[in-house]
Amino acid sequence: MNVRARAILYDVMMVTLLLTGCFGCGLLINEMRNPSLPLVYLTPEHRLNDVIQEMAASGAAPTGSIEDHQLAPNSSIPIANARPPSPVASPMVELKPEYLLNDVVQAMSASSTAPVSLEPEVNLKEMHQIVTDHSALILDARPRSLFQAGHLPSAESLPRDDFKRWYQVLENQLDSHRDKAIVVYCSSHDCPDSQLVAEALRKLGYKNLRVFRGGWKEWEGANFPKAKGCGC
Amino acid sequence: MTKTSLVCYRTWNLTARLILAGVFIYAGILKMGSPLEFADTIASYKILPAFAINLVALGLPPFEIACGLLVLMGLHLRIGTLGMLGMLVVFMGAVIHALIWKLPIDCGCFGEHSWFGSSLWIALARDGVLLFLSAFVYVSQFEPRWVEKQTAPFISE
Repeated sequence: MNVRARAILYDVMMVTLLLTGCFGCGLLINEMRNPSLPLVYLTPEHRLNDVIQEMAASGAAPTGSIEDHQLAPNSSIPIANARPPSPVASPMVELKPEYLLNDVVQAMSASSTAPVSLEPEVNLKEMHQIVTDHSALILDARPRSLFQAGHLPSAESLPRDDFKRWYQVLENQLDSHRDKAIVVYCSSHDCPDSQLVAEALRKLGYKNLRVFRGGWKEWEGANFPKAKGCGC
Repeated sequence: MTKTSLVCYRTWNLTARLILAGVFIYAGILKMGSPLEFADTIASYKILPAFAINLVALGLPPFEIACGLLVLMGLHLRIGTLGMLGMLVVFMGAVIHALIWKLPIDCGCFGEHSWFGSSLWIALARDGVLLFLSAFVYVSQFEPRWVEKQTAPFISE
């Protein structure tokens, strides 16, 4: 083995050593974080679901149980988590068509990369009307930093990744809209956050939920008025 | 090496090092600040199994920062640039995978929601440039004469 090959081999070994050390450091830093990142990855859906379960268990969900709000008003599509009693526990129970559809939709959403919309949608024109009329509570499901950089006028921030904290901040405002329209949006058609937040709110008892699928990208592209800052 | 070519070589080398170090340290700090978002980005590529995603999300940013610091300070330059080369090959592989499978994602190279969020094609081009720069710095540690030959057309005597 010539000198250069030996030098490269030495470099590779040192890089491996450095990589191992950095992974160790990363784990150590994570231990010092509050809250620390769990070692096994959970999808955003799972994390939000856990938060909702925790809030429901601790009584943060103000009224009704999760099962009370399974179907979207003005929509024939059931939400993904509205499941029938377990067919294993009662094998003679016949599944209703909407539950079968629900399973199909879940399977589709699991296999497809594009989020499947399960909430009634609002298009750009309708969204513009809502903003002009102040006829609904508008919620921004994007991370807080993006909300502060720019958002729809009169929108409130309810980020998917910090749902519990901001839900508590907005609780009074949300309660006053319990039976009124709430529109949720996120970055664009590709982002699932608006759908996840809308579903979470439905589980917490809010009824008249809509999703603006085009989101911030479509709104910004249309050159409609924007707002900046935290709005607090 | 002539005096002019030596100056040219050093300027190129230093510029390449500063660019590489700046990009990697910045990216590492952004990702380290929001490991959860970085884990979501890794998951969106659908390459790694669930048990490895968070481990990579926690371990990779310190490695990026460490390599960036080594290259910036000029300490163990070969190790720093080889680490960068390895990361860039992996990043480019992930981006190509996402392009082949038409995954509707941003590269997430600077954290999921940073201002540097870009399309996969731009990310691929950027990674290609960085790969070239890191290869240049790495090889130049072994072959100053090769670098002299490459930079010769740019030298005005």
